[in-house]
Amino acid sequence: MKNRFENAIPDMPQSFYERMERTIEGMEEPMKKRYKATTVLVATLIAALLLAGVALAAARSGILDQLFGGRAPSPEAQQLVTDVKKSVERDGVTLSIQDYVVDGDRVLISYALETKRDEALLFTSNYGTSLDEARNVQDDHAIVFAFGGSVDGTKLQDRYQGTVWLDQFGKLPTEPFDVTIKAWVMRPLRPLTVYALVDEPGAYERAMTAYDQQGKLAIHLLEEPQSRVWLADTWVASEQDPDCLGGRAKQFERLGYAQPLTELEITIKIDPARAAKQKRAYLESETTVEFSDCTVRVTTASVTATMADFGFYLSPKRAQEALMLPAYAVLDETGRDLTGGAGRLISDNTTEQAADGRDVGYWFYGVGVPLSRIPDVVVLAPVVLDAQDRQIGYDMEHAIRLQLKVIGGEEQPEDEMFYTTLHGRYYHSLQQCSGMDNNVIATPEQVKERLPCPICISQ
Amino acid sequence: MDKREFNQRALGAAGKLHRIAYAILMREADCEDAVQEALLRAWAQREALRQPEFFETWLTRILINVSRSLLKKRGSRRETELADTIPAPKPRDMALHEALCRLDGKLRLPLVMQHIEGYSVQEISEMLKLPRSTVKWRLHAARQKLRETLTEGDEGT
Repeated sequence: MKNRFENAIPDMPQSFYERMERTIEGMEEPMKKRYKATTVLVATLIAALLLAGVALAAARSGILDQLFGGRAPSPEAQQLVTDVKKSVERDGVTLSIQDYVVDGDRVLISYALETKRDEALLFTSNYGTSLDEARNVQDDHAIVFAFGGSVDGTKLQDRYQGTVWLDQFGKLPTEPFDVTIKAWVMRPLRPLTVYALVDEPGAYERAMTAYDQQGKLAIHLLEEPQSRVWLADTWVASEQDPDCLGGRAKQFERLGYAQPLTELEITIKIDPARAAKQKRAYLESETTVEFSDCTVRVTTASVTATMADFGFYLSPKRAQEALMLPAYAVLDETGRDLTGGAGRLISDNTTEQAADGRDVGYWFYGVGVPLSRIPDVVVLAPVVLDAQDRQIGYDMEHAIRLQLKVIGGEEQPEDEMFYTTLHGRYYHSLQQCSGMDNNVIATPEQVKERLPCPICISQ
Repeated sequence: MDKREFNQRALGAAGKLHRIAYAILMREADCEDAVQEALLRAWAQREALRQPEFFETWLTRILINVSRSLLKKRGSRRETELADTIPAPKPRDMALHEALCRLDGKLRLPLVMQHIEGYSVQEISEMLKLPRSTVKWRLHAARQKLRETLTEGDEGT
């Protein structure tokens, strides 16, 4: 049956390989984050905290690095970052929170767990907020990780880097609120063994249980340092535990797999006021557009300096068993792709049929959108694909123009902004100068070490 | 790991990466997005990979996570067939491919996770946050629906 399933998967198209090539070709070393004067103040405060006995971890990877990868965040995105650099160390293990972004629609927090102990440990982590006392838990971290030390001669990573993603609020509160990140660190009571998952037939299937036949706990070195221990045979849903936070750790203890070593906890106060000052755009009320063959009802649309988020429902006007559902792109008025081209698209669409089988919901979610100017108009346009499923344009006849309400921020004068590529030698006044692709908008300060384009600047 | 080695090893695993991404996402455009995101993450975290011999496995795991993340963000998978105006990929077993596409996303995902990714019922229930009984039922329903679809296809030919 498995072989037949594999035959249900088509051969790799050339476009897939080419996408990999283009992606790798565009990879460069991440830009150094520019620190503002406020950061200096934070650093001063941190120094004071250090003297007070609070251990601090160096920020190796902040939230913008995680969001933007190697791309340059806009100045507005950088202004959304609040440095925290708060940490707590106990029993040779450190939990630290580097920084967070609050952009008016959501909060993203960068945190890390690191061990200095010369032994392999297990941990699970979770978080809660002061906003939701009734269900003060997020259960994405439902898996126990292994870190530190060596197992079967393999060195495990000493550091785990994670992100807390709070975007379920609809609207963020205006008052400061607390977020607590907590980690439960355990010492294994059973021998550990590593499943490296080399290219052997069936290796993956064999490696999926936490407790192997020799009585060892199996660590899957699949995504270092996120070496996972799956509770494959004995799992109980964390939400069934009366104390959800730490449920996994308690379960490991009950099963005799591990004993508690230490618990680490950091609470930070999220101040939404910073986001309130930033420019963002959103759809004030639902918008319905009639086409000859369908009705489109747009329910949500928001653009911030770090995210682009759109949701809409499409209702065909004729009954049909199977619907042709094109992918959509979100453009600004100049035709620039807000979520796919310039930014980093993490999800392009969702199709979700309602009970009558006709309504279809779409969702777009892009991160790392390097926008210096938040648009007050966006265009939802169906993507036209070629025979190889490659995007070749947009179906503008079915495009939907949305007027957004822009709030906050101060407009950057048009003549003070330039275009550049991440590591380009020149900066440009024309976005498409010399066929420039993947350009970002930059301030004069950001391009001061580059040369003016001899083509478009000197004109 | 320098860029040249990263390039060489990642492209060397292209076929496997495509198969895994497609097994989860079932759409070429999504697979390309997923592999792009996986490559970016891998490149950003490359210093964390201390055992270069595990590169392919490590990258594969990142791709699986990214693909699942796409699915999670999207909720249910599209419930449609591809229309004639956009040519579908050409798998060797077109009948099974079409039967998979016809499956309700709630049924297809556990099936793909079990038969192509090799997950157990327990693991699927954990990752999808569903009771085991629900996963079992969905697997049963998926197989039954597949069987019906494939049988209909056989009878029709």
